[in-house]
Amino acid sequence: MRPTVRRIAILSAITTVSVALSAGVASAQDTEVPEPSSFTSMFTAMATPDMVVNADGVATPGEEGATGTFNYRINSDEEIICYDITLNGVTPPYESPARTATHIHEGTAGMAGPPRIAFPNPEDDGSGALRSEGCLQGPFTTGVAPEGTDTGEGFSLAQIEADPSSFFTDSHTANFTAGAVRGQLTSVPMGGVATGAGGAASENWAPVALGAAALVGAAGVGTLVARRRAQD
Amino acid sequence: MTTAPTALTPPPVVAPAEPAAVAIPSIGVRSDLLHLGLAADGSAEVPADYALAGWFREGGRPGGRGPTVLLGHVDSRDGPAVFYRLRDLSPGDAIEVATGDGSVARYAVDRVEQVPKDEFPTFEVFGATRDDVLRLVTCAGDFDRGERSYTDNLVVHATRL
Repeated sequence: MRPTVRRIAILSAITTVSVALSAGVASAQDTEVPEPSSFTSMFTAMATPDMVVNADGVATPGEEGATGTFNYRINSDEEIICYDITLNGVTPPYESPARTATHIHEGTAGMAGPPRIAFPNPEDDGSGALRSEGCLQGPFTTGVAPEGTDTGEGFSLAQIEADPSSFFTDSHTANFTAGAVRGQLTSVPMGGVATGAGGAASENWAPVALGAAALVGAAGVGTLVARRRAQD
Repeated sequence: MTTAPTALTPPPVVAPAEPAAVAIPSIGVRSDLLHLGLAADGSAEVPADYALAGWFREGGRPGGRGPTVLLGHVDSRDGPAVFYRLRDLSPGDAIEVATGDGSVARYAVDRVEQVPKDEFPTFEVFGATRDDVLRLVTCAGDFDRGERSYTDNLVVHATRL
């Protein structure tokens, strides 16, 4: 039992109201929670109309000129996903048989697939863009149960981490029920980038003994291929 | 926890749309590009060769939506490395990225920013963008000799011309 359960319960009671206002019936699951202290993975998706396919996998372009950036941070140990979604040029009303119309689906590029997570729909933030951000904790439900079982049941965030390219994200509207925009998930690295080893560029630079082996970890790789010159 | 560099050589054949080399005339940079992914700890894989920059292959590529992200070391234990002079770039400076089919995409620097690694703006650098943009990343700030690591990253933001 996590020590924060009580706090989460109180928060979810508060956020359930706003979720209910913007997204219809809120479930007891899919709880809105505070941001966790750490993440196990991060993903982004550039969603565009040309990526949309219908339920039969047939290309079905979404809203012309629309785009969506979907940024996700996952803590798969706590089954929490934080979302930061921005849509430009997408015209509500939203429409979907699921509880909301903004989803992560399981499906590779060009293929249809069932929704696994339903997020609160992005709403106008005053700048003209539609925004939705927060964190949800599973187990997840979508409100869609074509064969009697909710399409979120049995899903866990670890499945996204294992194979992000098998998942896509989208928003559905009344005019574009197959999707106004859609994009496949791609991984982004976490934390800073380790691109320095010497201290020569340091703001606190001081001379040190040079000549130590620089390429830690470069051993153990198999056949080296000849460098080709790409810009002759 | 591994931050050891792992990518050793550029791929022998680069797909037509994928970045093969970068040139930054104003600071004398010219490098074939390694193709980089994620390290085991979820951080960005970085070049094993300090003389070469690398392309983060999970992200964008020239001609598409962005961002195209290139990573390069500022220095090694032996001295300056491929992106040592990145901090000298100014708005408007040109950056050229050649792709596998030999075409060259030209970008212009918008801004150069220094960010603490422990507050790295992941999605400002690696997050999906509507436009064809380029990011160059290296190290900056104070150097921690115990960790053999810099405290900050330098990020160059550029837009397709």
